Order: sequence, then structure tokens, then C-alpha cells
Amino acid sequence: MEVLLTAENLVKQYPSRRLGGRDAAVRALDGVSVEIQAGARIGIVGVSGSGKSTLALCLACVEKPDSGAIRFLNRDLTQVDESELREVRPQIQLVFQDSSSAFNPKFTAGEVLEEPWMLQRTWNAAERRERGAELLVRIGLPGNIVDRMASDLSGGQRQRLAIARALALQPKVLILDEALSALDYSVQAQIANLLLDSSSKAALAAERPAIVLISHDLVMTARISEEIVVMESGRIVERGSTEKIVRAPKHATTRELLACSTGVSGKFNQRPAV
Amino acid sequence: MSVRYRPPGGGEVFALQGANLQMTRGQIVGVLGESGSGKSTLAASLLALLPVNGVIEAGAVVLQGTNLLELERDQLERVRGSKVSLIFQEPGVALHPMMRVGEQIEEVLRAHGGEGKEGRRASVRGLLDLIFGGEAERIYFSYPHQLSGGQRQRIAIAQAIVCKPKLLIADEPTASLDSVTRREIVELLKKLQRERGLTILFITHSAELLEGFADRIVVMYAGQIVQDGDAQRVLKAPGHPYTQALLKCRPTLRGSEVVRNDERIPMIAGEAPDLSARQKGCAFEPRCADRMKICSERAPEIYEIENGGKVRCFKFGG
Repeated sequence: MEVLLTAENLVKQYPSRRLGGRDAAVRALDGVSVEIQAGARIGIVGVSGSGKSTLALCLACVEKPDSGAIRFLNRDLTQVDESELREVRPQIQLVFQDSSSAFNPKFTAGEVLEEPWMLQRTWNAAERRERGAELLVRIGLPGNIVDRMASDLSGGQRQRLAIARALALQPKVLILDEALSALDYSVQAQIANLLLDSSSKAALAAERPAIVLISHDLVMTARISEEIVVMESGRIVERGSTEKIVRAPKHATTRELLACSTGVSGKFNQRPAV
Repeated sequence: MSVRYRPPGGGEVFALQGANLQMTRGQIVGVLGESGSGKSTLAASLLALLPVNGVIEAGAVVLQGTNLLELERDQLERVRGSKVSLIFQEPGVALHPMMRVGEQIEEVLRAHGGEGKEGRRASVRGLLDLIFGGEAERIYFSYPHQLSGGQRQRIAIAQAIVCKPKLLIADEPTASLDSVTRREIVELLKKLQRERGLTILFITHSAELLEGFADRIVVMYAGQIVQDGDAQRVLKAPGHPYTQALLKCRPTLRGSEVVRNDERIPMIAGEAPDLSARQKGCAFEPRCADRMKICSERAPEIYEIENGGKVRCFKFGG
């Protein structure tokens, strides 16, 4: 498989949020390297504050790392200027936990969906409408949804719409930052299946993005990803095939994440009280 | 209990339709349901804290012989926080940003007229020792922004139990936390049940959190309780087709499941029903894998199954 996107030795530091405190900057990324193959599904897991969202933002070129390189199609994205980034951005799409804040509240679902094509000035109105309808079918939303206000949709419908919009420009990489976490499990299953379908071998190669799933939920991440990276305090502490991570976790953090995201009866007597 | 909302756009939403729930002292009851199932409406109605467009159509909330819904406002306010407490998903919203959290816990005691200043401080110190151990001192003098999400939720729990209530209602208290912190909160609540005899109604959409934690599980769907029974039984042998389907949506990583990650996850077909009209048949019928002719003709009652379990489904009676 061809390597598509790599992060090399990323470092990203945020100034401390403590009021009047000493200089205690937070190292959100402390030498992180990942390699994403074309069409692969990779999971990045960790607890709050482990740096996984910062990694997502850096990979999507929303945040710029302090040092390190992000290579995408033979270019170091940390070195290119804004106009060049604008060409790259449609190919690396990002979906967040609360996608409603990414939608224009005055737009209908159809307008939300067609917005990327309008911005890219591809297709005329009739073509956009037609392609939008195709995309809705692909992600399993009813066609009559296009005339409803995006803000009136249910959480699961909104999140599917966000993913549809992210797929509209046929990106090479789709990054989901806790995009499933706030949803009911039945809706998570629908969206997980949508991701599995869009990256399955049956999908057209051009429409098959690499999927980067950022989450604290090791169970759902393992179910979707072929490979898992575990982060803690800005560093990668373990990585490997999903099967290796789940069957034979080596690092304590991985083991704790595993124990906490699966319901294990009797566990209350095994762990010391908080 | 039946609750109806009048949305601003007109019409009606039948959010809760004849829910019956009984809790015994010292029990942890998990309410399992998805968005729109009525689980939060149930929680809010127990303390008459519905939004202004919510109407309790019928029902009573009886706490040790007293119907809370018949109390005067000031009587009800004495019950809230001292006999029955409530915690929510976002603890940060309930905390004053410019006041030390220790003092905010003391404030609850003061509002309910408990002890003198020194006594209040001692109670709060004792409680923080129980919840935070060696960190109690530092936490007492912290401001909310200096604490993590999990620590803030533990402060909200401290506020909720400082007056030693009989019942704690926890409405998705872990939904915004990561899985490790989530476990810690659940373990703290379990400890409070064991050491203080606290009775807890724990509302969640994550079934795996209830395993080993809840004594009993109540499953809600479309404003109704569809299953009620012993926690282990409900999780191991879910009777209601909805409970079965819901539990299957969540991968387990047990057995061979993890290596099948090219296969799709079992789903519940269709969407949750629209509650703006009363249903004729069973609310789950359009999505149910086991539906029968009768299911669309009339609504099932709740039927008793073995070991005191209850299921609202024609497969079990009617």
C-alpha cells in the first residue's frame, strides 16, 4: 500500500492556561510520528488531554506544529503557504463531535451538503442537486431531508450529514475527532457502518478515503480500525494492529483504556476504590 | 407518570407515557435509553423540574409516603437537595466560576440550614477526604477552572450528597467524560452506595457502564418503560426485542468479534418514532425483528416474566 500522509516528530506546545501562574506550557504533542496508508483505517485513542485532538488538528492543517513535518503527496504541509494549503485542504477532511456548530444555521440540509461544491465552483445548480441526492442515498439519509433546516435534524442525522459533506469532495483522508462519542449506540453503529462501507474494497478507489478515528472509546475504535495508536501526555505509548492491541496490550494505559471501555463484571471488587 | 411537552412550533410531544418505577433503599437503578426515550424527562419530573412547556398529565412521585407533586413550592425546595438530589451531564455549568469549590459545597449546607460555620466546614472536609483522599485539601481551595472534568463532576456529587439525601438522581453524569474518568465516577457512586447507603437512579445510554454497577436496569423506549429487571439478567438475557437490538449495536471485543472488523455492526433499522402523535400499536413495532400482526393493532401491556422481571412485549403475554 502507498503511504499517503505522514506526521514526523511533531511537537506542539500551548501556553499554560493557569492564571498568574509560572510559565508552565503544556506540551500537547511531544515528538509524535504516524504514517497513514491510502485507504487504511487507523484509530488514535487516549484519555482527555493525551494530545489526540491536537494531532487531528495538525494532520488537517488547522493547527501548525511548532516543529516536525507533515508530508502529504510529496509535500511538507508545514512549509507551504496558505494558497497552496487551500488546494490541499479539500483532500483532508475533518469532522468534529458537535458538527452542528460547523453548519450555517440558516442553511437547509441540502445547502449544507452542496456548500463545498459551491465554494470549489464545481458543477452547476442542477448537477449539485443531483450529486447531493446520490450522496444522501450513499449515507442512508432520506432524500426529502434536503429541504429541512439543518438545525432541525436529529443528532445522528446531523452527524451523517457532516460526514456526507466531508465526503462530497472525495477526500483522500477523513479525520473524525470524537465524531461518534456524543451519539446513542444505535446511531454510532449506523455511522460506524457508513465508515466501513465507504472504505470497503467494494467502494470505488477514488471514493475510498483513509479514515483516521480519534476517540477515547477503544471498543468502537477497535471495531472500525485496522491499526491503533495509543497516546498519553502528548506521546505515542503503543501502536500495532487492532488485534495485537486488543489481545495483547503491553502498555498500562492501553490496558486501562481496554478495561474501562468494556463492561467487566466483578471489576468493582478488583480495583482499589477511587 | 405521564408528561407532555408543548413545543414552541405548536403541537404536542408525548415524552413520557405511563412510566411506573419503584425504588428500594440502597438500590442502584440504571435507566437505559437513547435520545428521546424520555429518560431525562423521567428524572426531571421526579423533582417537578420540568421546563415551562412541560405538563405532568398524570402521576405521582411518592417519597416515603409523601407525594412530592402535591407539595407547596417552599416545601418542595426543602426536599430538593436535602432528600432528593440531582446531578447532570455538565457539572461546570452548576459551579460558580469565581468561588472556591469547597465553599460552594458548604453553601448547599447553609441553604438547608445545617450546622454552624465550623460544623459545615468539618462536614465538607470529611466528604472531600472520602471523595478525593490525599488531594482533598488542595481541591477544597481550588476554583472550578483549575479542576478536570472528572474532578468537577465529583464536586457536583459532593454538593448533591452533602445534606445526606435519601436519593441521588444522576442524569448522564459521565456522558462528557472519557472512558477512564467515566469508570472512576461510577466507582465513586458505587462506593457511596456501599458506605453511605445511598439510593441512586443512574440515567445513561451506555449499557456497559451499568454492568457490575447497577442492581436493577430499566430500559426506556419512546417515552415508555419497556423492560425492568435484575441488572445481570437484563444484560445477559435481554427479553425485549429493543433491549436485545440495543445491546447488539455495541461491539464487545470478546471472542472473535475484533478480527471481523470488515463486517458491518448489527443495527436497529429505521429511526426512533415521532412522539408528536399517540401510537396505536407498540412503538417499537416498525423496527422490530420479531414483530407480529397484533403488534400494530394495539399496544402491549407490561408483562411479568420470571424473577420479578417485566417486559412490555406481546412475546411475553397478552
